[in-house]
Amino acid sequence: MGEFFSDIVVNVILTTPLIGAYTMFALGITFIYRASKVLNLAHGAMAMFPAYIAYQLTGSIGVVLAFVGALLFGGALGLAVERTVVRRLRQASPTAQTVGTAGVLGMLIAVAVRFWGTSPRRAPSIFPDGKFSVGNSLVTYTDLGLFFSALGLAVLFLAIFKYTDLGLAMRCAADNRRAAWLMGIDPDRTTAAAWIFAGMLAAFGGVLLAASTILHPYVLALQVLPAFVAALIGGLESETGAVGGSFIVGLTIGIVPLFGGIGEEVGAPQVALGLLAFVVMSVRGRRFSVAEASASTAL
Amino acid sequence: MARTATERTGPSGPTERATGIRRVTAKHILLAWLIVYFPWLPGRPLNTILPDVPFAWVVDANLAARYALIGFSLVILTGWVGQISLGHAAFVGIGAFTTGLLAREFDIPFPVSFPIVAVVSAGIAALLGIVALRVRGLYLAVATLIFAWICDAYLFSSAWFVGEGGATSIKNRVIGHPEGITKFDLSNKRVLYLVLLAVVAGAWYAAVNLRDSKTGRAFFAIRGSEMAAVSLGIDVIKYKLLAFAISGALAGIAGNLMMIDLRSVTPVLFQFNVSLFFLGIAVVGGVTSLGGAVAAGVLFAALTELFFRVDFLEGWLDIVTIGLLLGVILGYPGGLGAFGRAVVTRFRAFRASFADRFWANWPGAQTPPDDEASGSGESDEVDPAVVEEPNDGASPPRRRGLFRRRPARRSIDLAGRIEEIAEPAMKEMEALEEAVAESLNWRTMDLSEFQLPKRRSSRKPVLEAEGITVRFGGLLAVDDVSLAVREKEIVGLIGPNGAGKTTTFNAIAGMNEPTAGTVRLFGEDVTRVPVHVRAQMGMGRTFQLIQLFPQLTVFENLLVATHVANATGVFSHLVLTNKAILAEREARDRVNMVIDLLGLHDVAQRPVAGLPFGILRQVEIARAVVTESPLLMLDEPASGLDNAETDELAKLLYYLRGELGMSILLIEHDVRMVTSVTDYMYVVNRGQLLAEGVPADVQRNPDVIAAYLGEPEPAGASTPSPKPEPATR
Amino acid sequence: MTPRARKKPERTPLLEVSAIDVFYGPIQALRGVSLALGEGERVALLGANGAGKTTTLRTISGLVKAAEGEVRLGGESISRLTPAQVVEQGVAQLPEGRELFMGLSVEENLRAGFWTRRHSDLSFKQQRDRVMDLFPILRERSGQQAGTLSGGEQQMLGVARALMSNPRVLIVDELSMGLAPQIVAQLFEILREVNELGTTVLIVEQFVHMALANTDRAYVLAKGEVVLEGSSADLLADPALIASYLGEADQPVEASANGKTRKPARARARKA
Repeated sequence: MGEFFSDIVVNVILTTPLIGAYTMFALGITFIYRASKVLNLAHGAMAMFPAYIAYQLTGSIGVVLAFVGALLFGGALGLAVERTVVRRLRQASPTAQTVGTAGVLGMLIAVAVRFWGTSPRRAPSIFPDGKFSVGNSLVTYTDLGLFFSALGLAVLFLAIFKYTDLGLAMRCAADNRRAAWLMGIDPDRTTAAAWIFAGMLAAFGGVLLAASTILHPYVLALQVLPAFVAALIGGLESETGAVGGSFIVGLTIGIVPLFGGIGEEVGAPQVALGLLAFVVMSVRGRRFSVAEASASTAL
Repeated sequence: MARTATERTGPSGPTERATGIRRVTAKHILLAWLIVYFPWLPGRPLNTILPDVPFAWVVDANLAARYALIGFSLVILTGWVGQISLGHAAFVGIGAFTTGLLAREFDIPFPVSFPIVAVVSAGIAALLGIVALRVRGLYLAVATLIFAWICDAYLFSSAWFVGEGGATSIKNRVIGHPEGITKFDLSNKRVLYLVLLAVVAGAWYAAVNLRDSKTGRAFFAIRGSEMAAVSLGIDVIKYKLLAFAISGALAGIAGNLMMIDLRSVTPVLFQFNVSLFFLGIAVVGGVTSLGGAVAAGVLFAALTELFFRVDFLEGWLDIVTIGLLLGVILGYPGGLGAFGRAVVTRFRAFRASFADRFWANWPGAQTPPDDEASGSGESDEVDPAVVEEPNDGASPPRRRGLFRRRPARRSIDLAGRIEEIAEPAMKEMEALEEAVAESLNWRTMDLSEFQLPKRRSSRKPVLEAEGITVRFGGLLAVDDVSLAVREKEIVGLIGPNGAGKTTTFNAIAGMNEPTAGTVRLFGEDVTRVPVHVRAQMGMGRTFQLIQLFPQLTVFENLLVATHVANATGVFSHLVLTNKAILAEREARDRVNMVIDLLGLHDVAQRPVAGLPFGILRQVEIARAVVTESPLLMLDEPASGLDNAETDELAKLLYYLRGELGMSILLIEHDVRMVTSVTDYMYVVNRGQLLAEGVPADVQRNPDVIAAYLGEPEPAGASTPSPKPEPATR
Repeated sequence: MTPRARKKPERTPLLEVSAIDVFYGPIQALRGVSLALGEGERVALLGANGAGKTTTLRTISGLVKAAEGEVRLGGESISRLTPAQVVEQGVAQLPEGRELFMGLSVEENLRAGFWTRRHSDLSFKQQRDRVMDLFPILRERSGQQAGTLSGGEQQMLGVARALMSNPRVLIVDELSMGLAPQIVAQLFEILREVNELGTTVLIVEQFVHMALANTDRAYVLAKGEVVLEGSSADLLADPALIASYLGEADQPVEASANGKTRKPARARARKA
């Protein structure tokens, strides 16, 4: 029993980088949902693509500058997706919006595959090399850096929302678009800001997650699915909920394989998460559709 | 009043097709022969330059056929019912691996595995459909994505399903007969092409039948407005699950044929990007168009071949196909389907003008006959009076679904009304139509003769609501409201903003369940009965924000409302049985009848989008009339109408009541309209019934005046109640 | 309660709506509506539901664009401005249904109301304190979420938020919606104070008597047109007013069935 418990501790520590990445992705998904009432299916690709940009730039300008460049690229990518696809489809059906963001996801993956191929690569890290052992496994500084910078960023963004004018405007526009408009707050701008922030967070998480695991167009892009589950658990409208959801998701992935029998099978954590997501969506389904309905009638 | 025959029959549907109106010409036969014989087409006998059809082309044709099947699958689910699937590759994968599993473990060969796989994937898709009942739009897309993810991570990496080594292969033995007739060796791709062709043709035929049937219209209705769909008696749950099952079956079939074709598949073929590629086929085809799906299937197969052949293009396939998807969705939502229609129209116009000029100079020659014009007069010969008999209220109760009895149905006598006027004139249809139209025109009719029985208690109750109470959390929105609609009455429910009248209305209509109280429809307790069953029992309604199906014409909108009267099932729609054709004719005649009665000929073939608002209201009411519901509930029918339109609406209501015998309940902001139209009215204020009576009394009621205009002396310090909780009665 | 004598709007009115037509898709919501508000006036805009009151207000604040006609503030056209610019020009609105930021605190709602003035000389704290003086109850609740306030408090917050931008014209849509009568009376009292401090007030209200008792002049809309206008005291006595809401009581039901078209009571009580 004691061994089982220590296994749990080890597995939890090993999932910290995932929790960190999911936190960043789920926060971004939440920002975008609140601002545009769109579930951004392209979010995974918005994490994966900057990771390749950082990988590409590292050779010529060094790790740190490449990292900064990837962040800027991520922000620009977020803005571009909002302007070229999401905003243009706002008048169209939710079907078109969803297919639009899914199309962006597919496009970014296809471009990455075209230029970098599908063979996994090792991505450089901005954190120093080095590792220490936990149980039988190794935890790298990158893993820890990912986890703690995610927490730091979460706190930073919560502070921005709480204490700055921009944060106030973003919350107003998310809370009631028409009222914000009447107060003189331009919801289009706050929406753009939300996408830029979300893009940068996605890039941040993507670059670090690539360094912590591997750089691969599909694997990295699909790592966003657990983050979707996390955002759904958090209720899609709440930043703190997204952080909490990320912990739940990360821990599920870490702990499920420890249960014997079916838990040890390949893909058991995914199945567990998927079922969790279905349950969450079924429970909250009604609320989601109401939110969507009000979003479509809003200005 | 010059109406052509086409205007009356509506758009081409199974009626026309089944009566053999599309003539088969030598041109068609040649085309069919070319398509069927394509793999064996020799180049040499014709000339010495062309080679025989290369093997690669046959492979591509098979690929295109599979893409077309997957396209159909997505067109039905996403295009028709509006349910997005981002995980369709998973269904195809399930089909393929199940085929392999059946061959490997049970030695089940191809033609046998085909139906098994169809059923298995239909079942799995229906399971996913259960999730779709709870979530919509974006969330459904995520649910399908997660479903595909689970399949990829678990199912497709499990050895028991996929086979050892992560790939499934099947042996020739299960698909070919090396010792038998070589022509039917399915390991020969040229032979397999015939199978694929037959499957695609069959699926296309069935899907077209489905599209033009009751089922297809139920699908469109769900996509257009679920609220309106249930109000017309459509069981949304059943039809959504059905759509998932059909779509899953088609995708599974595609997977089954893929396994037979490739004979070895790996999970990589069913990854997420493939799902998007498949969605691209449907979107580029125009999402709703079956022909577009076939065209897109051929296009995507051709692109696959092209990008495989040309070194220079290597690796660009996904970029180009997804680019097509994005381009179509952002710039040309009609896709190839719309493009094809536009090209055909242009070409016809060009050919017509060219032929005119060409044949005009040709002595003794005539203009070639137009394909479209012939024969559509056929359905005019159906006698409107005969049509009605199968669906009067006396049909025996039938089991529907697992447990539910078909609810007792009441209906107004539309046919009787027509018969009354149509009786003498069986000979000259044209004259009759004119006469019918003239004598039935409610706009010019004198409707003032109608008299209700003097005493209200001598009128039979149609709808009774007793003690309706609705609580939202702590808020008491409606408190103990009782009202009744009696036979042939027009009853109004009014109240100031936020008084609770919409909540009351919704509780009666079944949109939300009352916390307490009962609703009785024709004497039966329907308080807990779902909306679509109330509709089947004879409760029709309209909506405050008009809920017509925007992509359909007026005629098609009305056709959706024949849903309940049409008793045919999905299977008879798929294969177009005689019963289905008959039911379809009945449905069309019924709609034409209502169009006659309400005088909507001029707009019948127009798409709903873009019609004047007043007409849209009338169409929405007409749609409720088509259901033959004796009770009509109108949610703010006059909102958005100007004075003339409001007056016309009032006349229409008199007509429906006086001539068709409908009973009407309306809630309305425009109190003047209610006081002038209704026989009896109820006033709610602050969630409670404030007054009831004939309009003249209610108008003079000081409480009502106070509720609408406020207390004459403000600052009513005498009323102690603080919050939304209502004051005095 | 007697309306105080006011200078008549003989000079250019402060806010002027001239002959606007507004369409929502195929529906014409307003047909040539004209209004004029003098500096320091209190004006009511009345009419049954669906008459076009809210649309008129939305057109003034720039949320809806007029197909024809113009809105002028101090003689200058504001028809083409965005809602934000209209607020900056000094026209603040409390929209129908309050439209508060329900998930935000009272203080944050006020900060949002101050948005267009955030870079001006006005300090947020001073302005907030001035506004809070009118609504002592809000001061106690400043950390609470707007969604948790009672109906009356929410309406007060709505007015307070609109006042934060220091407007020249305050527009209030459906002041009394869902509120108990004495709360409404209290709100009217506050609006009177606001008006005495120099703000022009335009009120849309269902409770006609209350609205007329608390304003100088009024317009009555029906089916998108102005059917009555005049001083509030005169309108209060006009039987055409009740008719425009409830229909004429002596009208026989069969009349409309015979195809006679009813016109709205067009007895215009125009003040010459």
